[in-house]
Amino acid sequence: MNDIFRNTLKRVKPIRFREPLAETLGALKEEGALDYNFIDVVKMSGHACPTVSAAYLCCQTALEKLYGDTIPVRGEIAVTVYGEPDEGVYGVMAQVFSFLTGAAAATGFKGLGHRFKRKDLLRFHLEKVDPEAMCFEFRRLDNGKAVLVRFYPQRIPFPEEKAKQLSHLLQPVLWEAATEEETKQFQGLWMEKVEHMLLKREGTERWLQLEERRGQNERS
Amino acid sequence: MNAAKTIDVKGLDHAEREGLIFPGVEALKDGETLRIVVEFNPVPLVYLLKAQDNFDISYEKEGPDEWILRVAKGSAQEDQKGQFKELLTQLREGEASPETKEKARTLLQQVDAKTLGVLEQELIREGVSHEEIRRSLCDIHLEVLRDSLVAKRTEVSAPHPVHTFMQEHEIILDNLRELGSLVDRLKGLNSFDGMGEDLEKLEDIAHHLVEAESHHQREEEVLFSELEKRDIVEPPEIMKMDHVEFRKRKQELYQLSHRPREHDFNKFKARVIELGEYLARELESHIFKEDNIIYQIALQVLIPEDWERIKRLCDELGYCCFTPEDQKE
Repeated sequence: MNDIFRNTLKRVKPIRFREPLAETLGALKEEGALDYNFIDVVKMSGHACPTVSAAYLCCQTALEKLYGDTIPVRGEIAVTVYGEPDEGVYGVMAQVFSFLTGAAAATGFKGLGHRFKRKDLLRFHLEKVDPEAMCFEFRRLDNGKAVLVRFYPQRIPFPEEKAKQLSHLLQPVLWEAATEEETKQFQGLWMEKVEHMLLKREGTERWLQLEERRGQNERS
Repeated sequence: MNAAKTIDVKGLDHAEREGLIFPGVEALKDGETLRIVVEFNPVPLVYLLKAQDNFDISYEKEGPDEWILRVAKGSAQEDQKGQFKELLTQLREGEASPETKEKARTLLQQVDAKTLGVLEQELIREGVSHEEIRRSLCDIHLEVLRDSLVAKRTEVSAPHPVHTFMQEHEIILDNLRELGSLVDRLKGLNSFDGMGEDLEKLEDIAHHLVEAESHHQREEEVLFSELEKRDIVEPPEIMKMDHVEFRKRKQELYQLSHRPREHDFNKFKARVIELGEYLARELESHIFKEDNIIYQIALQVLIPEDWERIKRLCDELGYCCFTPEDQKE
């Protein structure tokens, strides 16, 4: 298998899941945990960017809060996206949530008998919980516990000068007019922002906030 | 009064239905009525016929198993459309004579933008290619329609999306005029050194041309998509084809301007002249068609609630670096 991704992206902490559907149908040799790495998300999305990184971190942080020391279970997590599928980057982030948690929209798996239904576990809701933040709810179906994630994209730290350079280089890169040096500079700045979000995690609490929610059918 | 003729298209596929309905409608004479029997509510057809102004449309039966549409050709409208189509054909076939142009100008005093849009759709149905219409209408619009279309234009004010599009057009046109002048100066030069500040100017012009992609994106994803939902398909399709042609050339001009000295001067000069002259000519014509036909159709068929939604979606997609600030929010 080829391995052409940047080494830094491989250092991002994976999200560990159990996947009962794969266990039941025999895709796994034995019961065990599956690691979903950030590289897997990059493969699904086709790229790494602040939005995809933020979606990964929103999901990871929410699941850590919901499951503590236990392993999250794919297919047993419902996700509500407080935005429209074609509004801004809500759809892009929802794809990452779906890929990681197994929660699917209307096109998802209908289940086998009473189990493994993934369809409609990912929903879009028009309500705006916070006018400044993109909001997402992650809810465990087994006990009803839920967390609300508030993501403030405008608060992600990045030096203004570098942001200007990035914006200046974007046009020649997109129109395939950039020199090799400009392309490298652009990629370096782009990945610097992504890696800062994923690896340094400094000041994450300023742009990613969690709050527990009382689930509708919560059981202790 | 003649007895109504009936065309029953139940059970036929889309192409077969169109093959019967449109010739049938076309053949109607003043005062005649055509009954069209369909197994579903033919909303797009009703819209299309209503857009032509010279038909009275009514439902004789509305479901549940069949719909019967009565299409009566009004006596007030003469065959203005037929005359116009004939003129289009003449103009398409070659250089129009002064008499033909004058005839077209007189006729066009009574033709509005919506009718023109319908005409484009009809010509395509009759087998004229998009490309042919694009070229022929370009000539016609620039040579004949300009005054009469501009005279009939509906104006809107900020922050209406059409106003924003038209303001952006003004800036793009200024940029094209600068490109035209630069190309003229370039024709007399033999080296990059002779270009002086024009090298920087060319990069700036090309930068603004590619910045206009955001304008095209808003048109295609928001405005044209609203028109397409209302079965106004062909005019936006022709504009989108233009965008594709412009994009290729803008990209090449942008690449040349960004790294000019990587090229042999004479080759650079030849390409910049060809691309510059094409863009200055064709983009100007395209803008004229959008201002005076597409936007005018949109202003006629879309309602205030549609425009509110369009404005919101345009705000979300974002604007060009040169869009005037007062147009953005």
